[in-house]
Amino acid sequence: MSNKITSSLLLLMGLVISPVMHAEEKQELSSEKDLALKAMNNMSSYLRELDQFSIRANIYVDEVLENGQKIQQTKRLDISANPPTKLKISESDMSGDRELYYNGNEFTVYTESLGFYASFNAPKTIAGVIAKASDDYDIEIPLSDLFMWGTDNDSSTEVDEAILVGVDSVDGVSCNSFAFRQKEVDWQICIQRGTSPLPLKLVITSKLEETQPKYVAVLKWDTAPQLSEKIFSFAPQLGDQKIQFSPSQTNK
Amino acid sequence: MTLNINKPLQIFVLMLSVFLLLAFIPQQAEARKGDRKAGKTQTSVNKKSTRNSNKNTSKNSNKNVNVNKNSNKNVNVDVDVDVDRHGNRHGNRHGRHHNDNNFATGLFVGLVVGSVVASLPPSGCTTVIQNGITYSQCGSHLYQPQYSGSSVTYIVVQ
Repeated sequence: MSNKITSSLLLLMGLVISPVMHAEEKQELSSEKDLALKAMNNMSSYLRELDQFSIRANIYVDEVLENGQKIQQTKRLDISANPPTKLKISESDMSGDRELYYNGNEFTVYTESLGFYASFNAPKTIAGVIAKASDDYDIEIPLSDLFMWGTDNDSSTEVDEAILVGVDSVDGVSCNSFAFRQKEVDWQICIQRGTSPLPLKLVITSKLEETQPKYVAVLKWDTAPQLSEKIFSFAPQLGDQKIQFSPSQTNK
Repeated sequence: MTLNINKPLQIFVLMLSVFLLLAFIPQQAEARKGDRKAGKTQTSVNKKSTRNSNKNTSKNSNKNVNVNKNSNKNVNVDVDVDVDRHGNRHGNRHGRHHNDNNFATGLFVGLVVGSVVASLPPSGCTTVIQNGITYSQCGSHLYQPQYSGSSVTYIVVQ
């Protein structure tokens, strides 16, 4: 208990000392929740200001069997983004591989191992694509939170509780760990300390599920990648076949 | 003396049966709950859109079916799966369809036209294009590949 208090105090001090907090130190730190939300705002603004970035992430996600047993799946993600109009994601796991392309006009999902792809006319921004893919095509854009934080759909108003967990480390990088509670999910985030407040680890627990399955993402960032424009547009290879999205989804 | 030994034993047996009875009831309840479709692990904390929808359980239920089949040992799991996974992309593409979901082989027992399967039979499939639509022909069966979410599934057409 005293350890927790000590680490929370240290974290508090660290945040207060940091330059960003200096600018806002006039505002009272009325509660731990405010402080945690402030750190999230800080991170969100930083993310929205990034010109372009690449992420390599390992995802560990529980799949729940009908008997309640949780099976952890590992996914490997490579994300290249040039917001707000360009995104390329490669994802692989034991069930296969898929690539998602968004060039500002068109969104394509491609399964190279099968030689199949499908496309739809895309909205003008990554956030718009995330919504359309989810609503109309049942496609989940991996780590969509990275593009939603700091936008109108940000969940910060839905946070019921928030605490400072302490100073943690992800792959040797020091980060401030915070824990949040919302109606449907509990989540934890570790934000890199210092002048680049990047999310290094995200843990989401699904509370509505009886077995409380978890989703864990561990992120490695490159905030100054050299990204060619070409990588965001899908170009079929010889023999690739265009197929349709499931009608039951596109009719929704 | 024998009574003294038996009495604790009797009490133990009684307690054990009461315990088992009690333990059995919640297990029954659990088992019944387990009949429902498996849930979905949330992968984001922010709303993706203003629409409030809970979708995409079909993919999970497929996986569950597959895993169960596997535990019943009804499935011929191809242990060579990873060996040819990255090889020969333009060669026998359909031959590798099973690699992406090899557990699903057990699903090909009775094919109903209009039903959707997660993968094709492991071999003997070719791509045919009719009226601009891509089909996979496997023996006498014809499948139409489609994207269900970001996964390819196949409608049994014939």
